[in-house]
Amino acid sequence: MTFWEYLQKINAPERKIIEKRLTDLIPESSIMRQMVNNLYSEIRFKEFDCKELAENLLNSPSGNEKTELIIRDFCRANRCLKGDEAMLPSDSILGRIVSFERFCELMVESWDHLDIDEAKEYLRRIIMNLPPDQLPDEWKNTEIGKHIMWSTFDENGGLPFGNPRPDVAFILCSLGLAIERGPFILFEYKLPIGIKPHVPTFCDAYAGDFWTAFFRTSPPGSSWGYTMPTEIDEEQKPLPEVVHVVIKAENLVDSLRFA
Amino acid sequence: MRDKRGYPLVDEQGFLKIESVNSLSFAQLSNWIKMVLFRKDLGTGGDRTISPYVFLKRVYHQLDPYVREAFHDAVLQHLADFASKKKAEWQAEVADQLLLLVGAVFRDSPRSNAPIDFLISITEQERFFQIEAQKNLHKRALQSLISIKYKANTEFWITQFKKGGDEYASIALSGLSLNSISITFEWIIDNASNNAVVNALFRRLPLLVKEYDCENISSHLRKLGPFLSDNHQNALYKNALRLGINLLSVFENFSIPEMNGLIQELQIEMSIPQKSMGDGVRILEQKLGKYSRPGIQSPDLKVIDGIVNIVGKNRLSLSPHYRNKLMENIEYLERHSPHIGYLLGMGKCILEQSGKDPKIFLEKKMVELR
Repeated sequence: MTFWEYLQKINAPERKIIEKRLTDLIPESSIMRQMVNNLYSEIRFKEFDCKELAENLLNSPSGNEKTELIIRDFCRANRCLKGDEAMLPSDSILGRIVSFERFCELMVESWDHLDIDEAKEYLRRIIMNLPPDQLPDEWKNTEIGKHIMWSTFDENGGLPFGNPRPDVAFILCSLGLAIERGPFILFEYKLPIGIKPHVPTFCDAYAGDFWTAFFRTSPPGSSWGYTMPTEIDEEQKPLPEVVHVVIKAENLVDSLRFA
Repeated sequence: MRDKRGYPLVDEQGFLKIESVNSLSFAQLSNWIKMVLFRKDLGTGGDRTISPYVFLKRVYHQLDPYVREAFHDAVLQHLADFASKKKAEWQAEVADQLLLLVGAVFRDSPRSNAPIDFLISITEQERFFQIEAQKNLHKRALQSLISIKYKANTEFWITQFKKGGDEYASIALSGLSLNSISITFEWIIDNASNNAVVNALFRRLPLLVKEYDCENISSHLRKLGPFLSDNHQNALYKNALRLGINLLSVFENFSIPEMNGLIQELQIEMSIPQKSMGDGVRILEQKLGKYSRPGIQSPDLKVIDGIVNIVGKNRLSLSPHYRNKLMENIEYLERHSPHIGYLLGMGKCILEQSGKDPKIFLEKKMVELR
């Protein structure tokens, strides 16, 4: 059920308190507006999820900061990667794009490298453009994401970013990602046996430390989610997207390369 | 627009307005940094996968210079609170992010020495040494010291390795390499049978090559080579190839059996009849093995150049008898195996020893082979 549907079932005074807490967030920014829209429209909540969130909003001190924290903590309470299993075309290749700087920061944070200079030199000189079957053993075990991985794919079973591949700005826009300073790394991989892709849900999107305005929930019965491009025009279309647990570099099907 | 209790403003889309950070008072800036690290300020838009310290690092780089100074002071203040036991709120994940932030914002700063005492203090407190914990703050503090390029003495890093074991191999290696590359490799040789140490070297090697140059590192790898296992030698070879390190100058100290894997990788064919071989040629053949390629390519020329260097360093003390045999081999190769690179190498070393100018010979051969 949606959180909206749940609220219609509770008593009016409590509903008004909760609605006001959420409504107070809306003027802050488009991020908050979109978040509230998504909260009301996410179809994949169970009734006990809605009940817990409602109680937390009712029983905690007021204030937008508190509301944001309640929602984030609600999402983090074992609710990530709980969406329906995404029904991808068989043998799908998944794709991600990450800034080089960000990926190196991840390597440092997760102890794969001691400092960012080491990470950058190692990636540039050893890993980039190396065929997956030639990756050093010590690197094959490297996790290539954090917490949850978001990825796209081709609905027709082709390459995730198409062929020919569009430019980076187009890809970032299609994926709902902010344009930041490059370069960017493209990842293409397959999920290992036992790892399932999921339709992204509200909790996947809002469990992170920072939120984006460019996420929308998927309608019921969706085989997968769709991105929310940062701009919409004739050429810029939403791309299919899924979420899954973090995987290792050994699952790459093509060399890491700069976009 | 949002304006929460002295927090910076965000734009309509929810992204931080840097000018509003620049206009915060020191107390507001310090408090806001703390709130971000404690994950209590979520109203700012951003990549949902980035950590608080990454967010703050990016903000830091966009600030006005004088605000960066205030940013430093604020981070130092929080670091002092954490290190001094005065405020127990700095725990686990939050402290981890703080330490990462210290490394990130002080590494290229003129004030890179400022956090050192606090970080050292953290490394001296047993309560932070928790290898099994999800967040080993002791190790993270050491990482921050490396990020800001703190040149501790050798004993400091070796002590950390003894304390933390394999988990601290990369810490020790990186820390030692900040001070002295020679001492670093002496330590690696002492621990050459330790997988963690060798893997740490592989990860650091590209940066070491950049910082200490190829020749310097090659000479150290040459000394290290014989102490490595077969697998590590092969892995080192592959890394060296990608880093442009002269392979044969590194591997000339390696034992012949260990070269077999290397030889297969190189795939060089020398069709020299057994009866014609002298000792020098035999050594070359053992080094190079057999291969077949449609034509010499630039990586092969590097190998051939390496062979020439070996010959040039008197590994082959050719008597006139063997020089004549090698000339016979060159003629043989002309007929049966027109590998230009081999001819370049062999012709050059032979002619130099005979006092003739190799350039004319080589140019003639290249024209004939086209």
